[in-house]
Amino acid sequence: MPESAGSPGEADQVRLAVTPLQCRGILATPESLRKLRHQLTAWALSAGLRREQAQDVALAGYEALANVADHAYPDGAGGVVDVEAAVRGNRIEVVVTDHGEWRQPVLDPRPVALRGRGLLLLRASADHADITTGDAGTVVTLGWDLV
Amino acid sequence: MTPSSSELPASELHVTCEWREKAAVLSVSGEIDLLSAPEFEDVVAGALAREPAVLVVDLRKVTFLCSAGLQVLASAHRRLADGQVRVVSDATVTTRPFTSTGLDAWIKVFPTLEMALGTGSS
Repeated sequence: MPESAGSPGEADQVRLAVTPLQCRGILATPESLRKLRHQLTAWALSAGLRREQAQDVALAGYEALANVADHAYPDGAGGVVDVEAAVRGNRIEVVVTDHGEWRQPVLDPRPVALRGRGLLLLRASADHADITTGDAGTVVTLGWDLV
Repeated sequence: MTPSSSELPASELHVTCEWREKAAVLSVSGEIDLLSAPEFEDVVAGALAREPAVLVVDLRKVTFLCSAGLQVLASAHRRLADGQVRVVSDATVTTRPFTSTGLDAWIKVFPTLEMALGTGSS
């Protein structure tokens, strides 16, 4: 039996046993971002999420990563990104950090815009989404409630 | 008759193109992400170059779809008459990206190929 850390009656605390996923300093290329997405999906499934929820984690996490690849490093220099996924309390949390410049999507006034759907997908796929931009870069924190 | 079906090899993405009269049907399998979106775009452009009246993109074997894939389809939508780019999807992973971004207002999502082609009785 897993340790219940002194919280009797909370049988589902087995989730605490899930090891956090930590990937630091990953060069944001399409190849590496695909690999990160696969790792994130595998981690979400190992954390006990249903397949559909794991797909949400993969999509929102990937859109955050894709924004880094697309925008964070406009000078074309290889940008790096950190990804962390963990179970925190009753929530799955995925944090994507880059050290470049986050750009808000440029609004396309045409009725069927080509770009700018990444953030919509990110927000629609997560229960909680927070984007914090600072001089040092951007932190995207995504959360899913475990019910 | 000339062959109307062709295999279009791709690294992770796999796409076949088949013609149903004036409708081009692209059957896609694999993952549509930043890595494969350029290939997907090439295949869509290839089909559009043959001036179909309707472009049906069957995504039922697609296991991942992100905004880069939506961008390819939004671009195709601009090349054809309204309502003539259609998607076949029967799973959340491929349906929700359209509904949650509102793109389904322009690109309709159908559960079966027959319905997308407008040939089904149901």
